[in-house]
Amino acid sequence: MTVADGILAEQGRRTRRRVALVAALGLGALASVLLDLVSGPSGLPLGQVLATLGGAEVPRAAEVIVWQVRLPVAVMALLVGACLSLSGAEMQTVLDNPLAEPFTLGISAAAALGAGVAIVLGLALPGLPALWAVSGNAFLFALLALGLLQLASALRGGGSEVVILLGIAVNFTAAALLALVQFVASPDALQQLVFWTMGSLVNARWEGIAVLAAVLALCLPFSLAASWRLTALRLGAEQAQGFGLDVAHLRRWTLVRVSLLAAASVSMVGVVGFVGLAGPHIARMAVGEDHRFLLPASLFTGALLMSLASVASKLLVPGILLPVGIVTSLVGLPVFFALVLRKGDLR
Amino acid sequence: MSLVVQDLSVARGPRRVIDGLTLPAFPKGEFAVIAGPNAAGKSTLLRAVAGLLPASGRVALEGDDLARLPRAEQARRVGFMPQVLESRSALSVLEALVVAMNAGGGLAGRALRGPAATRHAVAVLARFGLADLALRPMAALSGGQRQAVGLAQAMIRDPELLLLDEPTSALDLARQFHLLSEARALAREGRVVIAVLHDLALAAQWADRIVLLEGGRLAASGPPAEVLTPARLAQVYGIRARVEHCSAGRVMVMVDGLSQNTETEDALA
Repeated sequence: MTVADGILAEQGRRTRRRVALVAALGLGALASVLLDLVSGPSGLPLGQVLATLGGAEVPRAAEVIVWQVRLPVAVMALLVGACLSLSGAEMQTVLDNPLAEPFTLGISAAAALGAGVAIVLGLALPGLPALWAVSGNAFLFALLALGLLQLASALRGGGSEVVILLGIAVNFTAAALLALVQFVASPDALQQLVFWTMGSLVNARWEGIAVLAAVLALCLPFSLAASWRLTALRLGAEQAQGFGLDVAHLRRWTLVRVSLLAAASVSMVGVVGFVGLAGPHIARMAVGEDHRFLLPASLFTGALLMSLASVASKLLVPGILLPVGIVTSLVGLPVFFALVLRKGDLR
Repeated sequence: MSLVVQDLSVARGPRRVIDGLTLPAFPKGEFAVIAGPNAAGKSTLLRAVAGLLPASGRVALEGDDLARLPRAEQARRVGFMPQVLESRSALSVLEALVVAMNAGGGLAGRALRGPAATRHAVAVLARFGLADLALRPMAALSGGQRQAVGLAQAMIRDPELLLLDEPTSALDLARQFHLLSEARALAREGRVVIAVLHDLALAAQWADRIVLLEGGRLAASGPPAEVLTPARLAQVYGIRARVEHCSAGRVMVMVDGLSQNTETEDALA
């Protein structure tokens, strides 16, 4: 066997290992959804849940619990986790910063401000049903925040530092404005707003799931098509340019995708931190930096994390459904830091 | 006829770093070195030729205006090795080469997939004596190894024009020798190879032609023995230097001190 054959064999082995890991993460996310479906106050056994999903004849109560309570929550958790983690992975690459995620760039804060404006001041997009006023506003404000980041990036020739600094500024400004909105809020509206900012899956509805699924279906093919170019960026912007990439163009369009994913997720469930940060990092530890594997792995890892958080939010305090945003941060962060410290290196 | 640079200007803010530069054509097979003092515009010239900076004027390869070619086509024909090479990546050397090949559209506009891509990358690594690094992560390479891999990355798509920005800055004497002899061999295979070098001794030893820049303008261009004269070195660098003629028409530069020419010192300041 020549040296070249040896290298080819080893590279082939690495590729197969990555494919297997991505598949395992995907299966893990699916298993976690099943776990999510069987956990809850009215202990339905797995057999009955599966029978209900399969369309078999089941008691009316089981049908309602599965189709109208648990399945929307489980599917929403899966989609939000997938969207946040995918957007985090792409953000970290195009901004060349391991801390970039929707939360740190002020997108979540802007969405919260939008929600606050709807809940407290009663201002909403005209023509939108009252049920969607909060989500609509949150989406709009998140997109505005990302529009600002885009503008900054365009004005300064696509540099990543400017985008990050402005993201931090947007974060603080939105937080301050939100505090102002909270200051003038009535006690009822304040309670509603605080609950929203904690991030919650209980209001998951099939219409919202459809919107989020459509956004993901729209963005994902472009993300996957950009995977070679995104991987090239890991070798440095100048070298990537030398390979024939239009780096500014790549950054711009990636930020557009990321904006849509993050804004749609946050507007559906409120502020959920950590998943967009940890999902990509855990995926990177598993499959490395080749974005052909990293992007799907991030997607599945985020879905898995969020789904597990949904399960934990039901089980941590029996009888009480904790807001999922609290769970992701409280339970997820120690696990994440344990992983990072074990590996030693964030990148 | 091969590489033509005509009336090239590059501005950074209000300042013209390169100002209406026209160079004698670079024929195929030639290894040219761009030299000059700090801030003479060497790297800027190289990057403008590579199409990485907005520039006015004309850069033509084999008669094709490079600025008018699609970006992917341009990148396929022009290999560029930057001065600063990112080395935090966890990608393996082999993967980094495959990415260099595929990110901008692949060898003939199409990405090579799977084992074919890997095989090609391994062949290029083997040619530069780097096969034993293939599976090493980029982040684990030394500065010298990173530069050697940088040359392989620039060569992966077999470009007609190879541009190297200070390719020897992190290399020891043996590796300098290896890389520059490789660069000259790549030129002899029918490419135009242009390197920015600070070290005039290396330039004198290896270059077929030296392009000497000063303040974004051409100070001199020609074979080392013609370009490197004591008078010109005093004028461009502000140094007192002796130029010794060795065998095979080569020259050696020895610096004795700074020149007393106050005009030059003002220019340097």
